[in-house]
Parts: sequence; C-alpha cells; structure tokens
Amino acid sequence: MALFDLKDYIKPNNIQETLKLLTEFKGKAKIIAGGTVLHELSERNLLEGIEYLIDIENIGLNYINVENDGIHIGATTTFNQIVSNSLFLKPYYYALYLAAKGVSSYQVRNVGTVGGSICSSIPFLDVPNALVTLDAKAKIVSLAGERIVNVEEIFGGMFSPNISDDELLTEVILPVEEEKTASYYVKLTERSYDYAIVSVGVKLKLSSEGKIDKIKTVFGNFQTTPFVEKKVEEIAKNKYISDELINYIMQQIPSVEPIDSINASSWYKKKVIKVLFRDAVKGALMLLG
Amino acid sequence: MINPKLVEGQIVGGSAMGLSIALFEELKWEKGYPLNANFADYKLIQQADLPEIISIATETPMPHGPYGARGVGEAGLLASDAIPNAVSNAIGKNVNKIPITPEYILRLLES
Repeated sequence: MALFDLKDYIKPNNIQETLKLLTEFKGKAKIIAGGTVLHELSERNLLEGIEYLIDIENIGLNYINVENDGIHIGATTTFNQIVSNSLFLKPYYYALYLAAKGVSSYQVRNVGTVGGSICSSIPFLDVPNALVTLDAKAKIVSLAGERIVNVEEIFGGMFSPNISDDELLTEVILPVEEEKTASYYVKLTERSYDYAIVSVGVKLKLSSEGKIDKIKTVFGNFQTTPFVEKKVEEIAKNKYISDELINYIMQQIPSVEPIDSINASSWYKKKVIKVLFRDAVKGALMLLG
Repeated sequence: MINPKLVEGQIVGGSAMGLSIALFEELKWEKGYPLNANFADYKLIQQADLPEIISIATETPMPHGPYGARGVGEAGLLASDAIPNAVSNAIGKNVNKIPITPEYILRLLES
C-alpha cells in the first residue's frame, strides 16, 4: 500500500545532482514532479521497495523555449503553462493546446507536468497522445550520456515506460512549424471533467495544390500505448479532402481491435472512434481556413 | 413548509443524486471483486454536468406525521426514474437498466 518503505524525500538543485542520486539509489528511488500519479502507483503496489522520492521541481526544467530545431518544453512544465502560452495557439501546435486544456481539473493542470505525463506511460492521458501526434522527441539523460528518442517509443505497458531507473527525461522537443499544417485533438469523456474513453489526435498537412500531403492519426486509450493509425495516410495521401473521402476512411478504420476498458467496451470504442476521427479532421481543416 | 430553504436543498440534492444514479453510477465486478472501488472509476455526477434544478413544493399534509408534517428527503431521487422513461420515450425502446450510458443507448438503438 502506501509509502511504507520511504526513508527520505530529496530535493536536488540541478540535473547532475539528480542523476547521481538516481544512480546511487538505483531501483530504490522514484522521481516526483507534480505528484498526481503517486497515489495511483501506491494503490497498485508499484511503490514497493521505493525508499527515496526525488523531487525535481528545483532543477531548472520549467521552461518553454523556441530554438532553431523547434520548441523545447522542460519536463516539469505544467499543463497550465502550456495552455497559457500563445505559441500553442498556432495551428501547427493546436492539438497540444487542446489536449492540455482538456486535462481536468484546473488544480491538476496547475501541478501535472509534461514529463510526468509521458513517464507514467498511461494510454488515456491526453498530453502524451498529442505529443505523439505532433511527432515530438524527448531528451533522456543519465550519467552515461544522453539520448533523443521519439515520444511514442517511450510508452511501454501501464506505468512502465521504456526509461531505465537511472535515467531522467529532461525535455520534449516539438518540431519546427510547417506551412499549411494544422493539428487537432478530440476526446470523448463520460463527464465534463474526466479521463478520455477514447481520443483522437490528427496532424494534417496540405500540399500547395490543396491535396493531402501528410496526415498523422493517433488514437488514445485504444491500445495499451498510443496507437498510430497508418491506414488513414495510406488511403488519403495525395487526394483532395472531401466529405466522401472522410466517410470512406471512417468505414475503413480502425485497423486493430481496441482494448476493453472499465468505462467502455471494445465494441463501443470501435464505433465512436470513427466519429471522433471525423471531428478531428474537420477541426484541423477549420484551422487551415 | 416548516423550513422552505431546507426543503429546496433536499429536493435539489435528491435530484442530483437521482440524476447521478440514472446516468453514471455503477459498481462493476469481476469474480466477486469490485473493479471500480475508487472515485476515478466509480463515476459520480459532477457540478458541471448538473442542470439548473427548480424545486416547487406542493404541500399535502400527512395525517400521521407530527403536526401533519411529511418528510421530503427522498422525493428528489425520483429523477432516477424520470430519466429512463424520457429516454425510452425518445428512442422508442424499453430501457431496462441504469445507468443509461451513451454505450447502452447505442446498443439499444442497434438491437
């Protein structure tokens, strides 16, 4: 159950110190930022043997910087910082804005962090699904060096990200904005403030003649990890967008059986994902004007 | 009414509970164990999902009550019966189960 084994709560002041602690207490330490998943972990007995919590609030990872290779978002940047930054109102990044805004509630958005939401590796969280939609990369550092991976490769099963115990995710890098490209995110919930039953993220790029150049489609809470539906691009590439085309794609997706979850059956998810997909594409088209 | 504010509170509160039962609340089980023994998965209605509830008391004395008074606590709960009837009327199918989730309505429509 709860944190019975906890010996200390450590608040390092920089990344180097954090990495040393992670190596020293390998397997016995957990990183904590917003702390919104901690209770869930303890309920599922996933904190057994954890003796140290390392709070990374003060190690300087709270930033949103525009650089040559795209937007760098620090791991401890909160959802509300994303919502209140006008960068993400641009059509290219709009899916991230919608996803962060859809996280409930306001109190959670004040403390929940970008890095934490990825490292939880939960299929129904909105921000990671939007990051996968936007082809975001993540920087993971350890004393041995650093590596940059696509965000979608980090997802393992529930609560088991592909990040080793002595590594730290420091930032997420969003690609540079492209011309005639918009992204959109739609989620279906039972109540006003809720986790998604299923969600759809779409990034749509039109060519200069107005044909579909690229379309990336991601389904949240559909598989145990964010699911990229490749069939959409196979069908839609180099075609003009029309209601007929959207209807045809709706008939062809999804290409996998969704998982059952506690709030909805696989049968239901399979039906509603089509409608959410349509809404997401229409949303992206609306942004493109 | 002995205390009009209290009566209003009872009716609004009872209706909210009735709506919650009709639309969201369900304990799910697997092999005798509850699957949703927490308030993330056991859905209660939220403030944002509630409509404005207007209470109108029709005062009918109860002869056996003290000074003819009648309890009002459970009256609002009847919302949980009104909703299945309304849904049934709207879609022309028998609604035999609560909570009435979107998934349940879709299943009814396709049955």
